[in-house]
Order: sequence, then structure tokens, then C-alpha cells
Amino acid sequence: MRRLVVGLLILSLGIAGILGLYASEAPDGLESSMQKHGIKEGDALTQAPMPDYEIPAGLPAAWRQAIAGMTGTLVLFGTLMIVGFGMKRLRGKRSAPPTG
Amino acid sequence: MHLPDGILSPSVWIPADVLAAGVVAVCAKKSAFELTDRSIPMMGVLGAFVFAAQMINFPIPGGTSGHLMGSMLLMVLLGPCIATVVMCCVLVIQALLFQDGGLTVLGPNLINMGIAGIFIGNVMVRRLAGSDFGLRKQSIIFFACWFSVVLGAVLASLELWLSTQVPFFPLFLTMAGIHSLIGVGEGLITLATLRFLIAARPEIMELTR
Repeated sequence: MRRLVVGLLILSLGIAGILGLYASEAPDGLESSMQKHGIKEGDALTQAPMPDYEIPAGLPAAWRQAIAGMTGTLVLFGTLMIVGFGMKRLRGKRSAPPTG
Repeated sequence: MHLPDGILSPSVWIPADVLAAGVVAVCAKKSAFELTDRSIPMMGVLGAFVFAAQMINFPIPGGTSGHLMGSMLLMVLLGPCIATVVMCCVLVIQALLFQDGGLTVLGPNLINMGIAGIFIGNVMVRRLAGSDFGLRKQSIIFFACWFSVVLGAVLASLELWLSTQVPFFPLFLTMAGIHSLIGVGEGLITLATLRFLIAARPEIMELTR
């Protein structure tokens, strides 16, 4: 199972880093529907560090996107490992599993 | 299908946030008893895969595009509770780091793209499909994928209609029409990924049960 996990992580990094460059630039289904029906986009509450999946750096666009995508993929993997082992650890401090 | 901040009215997003937070809390508690040292890295990498795959917008007719949601992929492999927790983490990271989806509307987005499809899909796949990954199960998974996307689109139109003064029916038709095409992509990508994973590790379906 460990080999599959490593393989899938490499595949995901490849998708985010390489395949992402070939993604369609057209608005997604929700955006185009909102435009069509005149619903305006609101203002964001916060400024995210990598808006629109690009790092704000003086690099070619392909690099800005690839680095942002691969960073996000690794952040997700790390977050879920912490969340997963964290939930399991919290469980250990209680006794019986919940019923139902 | 990520709703940004500032569109839904507070009377829509506050109850949706409360509802979603409650579901996530229950799911997290249940997940804690389902997870094992073997399945946690798999949960992590599947979440990373869904994040990466969501970046790949494929064009659909009419000058628009769609991408994988991934909730049904997670649900089939990890069960509904862990899938909900993973989708929640994906949406939080997307909102915080990439400005994709608003922070106030995390709840509505999680209901649309996660919770609703996951729990209805769970009933379809668990109750209607057999245990082996045959044509019957694959057909039901394909339909559940398509349904999860269209259901999410219908819920998003409802939330938009309740928040703005846009007439419901035309918005509903546009959203459901576009997403019934995107849903086919969801089904195809999910089945291709599942077939690949099951060919590589036949025991993967037994991961959480």
C-alpha cells in the first residue's frame, strides 16, 4: 500500500504541475451561469496568497501555476495526514466507539 | 462550482454553515473510529489527488468548462464520513490559499459539492450495488457521480435564488443543463480512476470496512 500512496502522490503532483497547464481557461459552469443571469461576483473577504492558482512571483506563467498547484497538492496531503492522525489520537483518549 | 464570498445572503449562508459544521463534527467523530494507520496515508493522498484533479478544467460545449468534484470517488473508497472530512479540508485549503470559494460560504459549498451528493450516493452505491466491482456497480457509481454534480448545481441555484432576486427557473435550467454535461465527465473520470486503483491494488475497496 505504501508504494501506491507514493505513486498516487507523484501522479497528483504531475497532474497539478503539468496537466494543469493544459486546463481550459473558460469560466466554469457556475461562473458562466452567474454571468448569463447577471449575478455579480462579490468581494473576497481576505487576500489569499495564491489567488487563481498562481504564485505571485516574477516567473513565467507556466512556472507560477505549476508551483502553486504542486504546493497545494502537498499542503493537502500534509493537512490530511495531520487531521487523520490527530483524529485517531483523540479517539485513543476516549474508551468505547460510538454506537449507531 | 465554488461560490465566492459576497453573493449569498447571510440568511442563507449562516444556516448552511451551521448545518455543515454539525455534519462535519459528526463525520469527524465517526471517521476517527474508521481510520487506521494504513488508511490515513491513503486518505491523505486521495485528498491531494482530488485537489489536483479539480484544477483540470475540461471544456464543455457553449464556452464553459467543468472539473472533477471528486466526492463520489472519495465516498466509494473511504466511506461517506471520511469523504466528508476530506472534502471539507479540500475546500478550506482552496479558500484560504487560492481564493477559490469564499470563507463565509464554506458551508454552502461543502453541502453542494460534498455532503448532499456523498450521502445520497452512499445510499445508491451501498444499497443498490453488489459487493463486486462489476458492470452493475460501475453503472450505479457512474449515475451517482452524475447525480452528485447535478444535485450540487441545483442546490447552488436554490441558494443563489434565495439570496438574489434572480428568477429561479431560468437559472435552474442553465445550471442543471451545464452540469448534466459536467456530470458525465465526473462519472468517466471517477470510474477510470477507480478501475486503475482496483487493478493496482484489488484490496483497496476494503480499506475502511
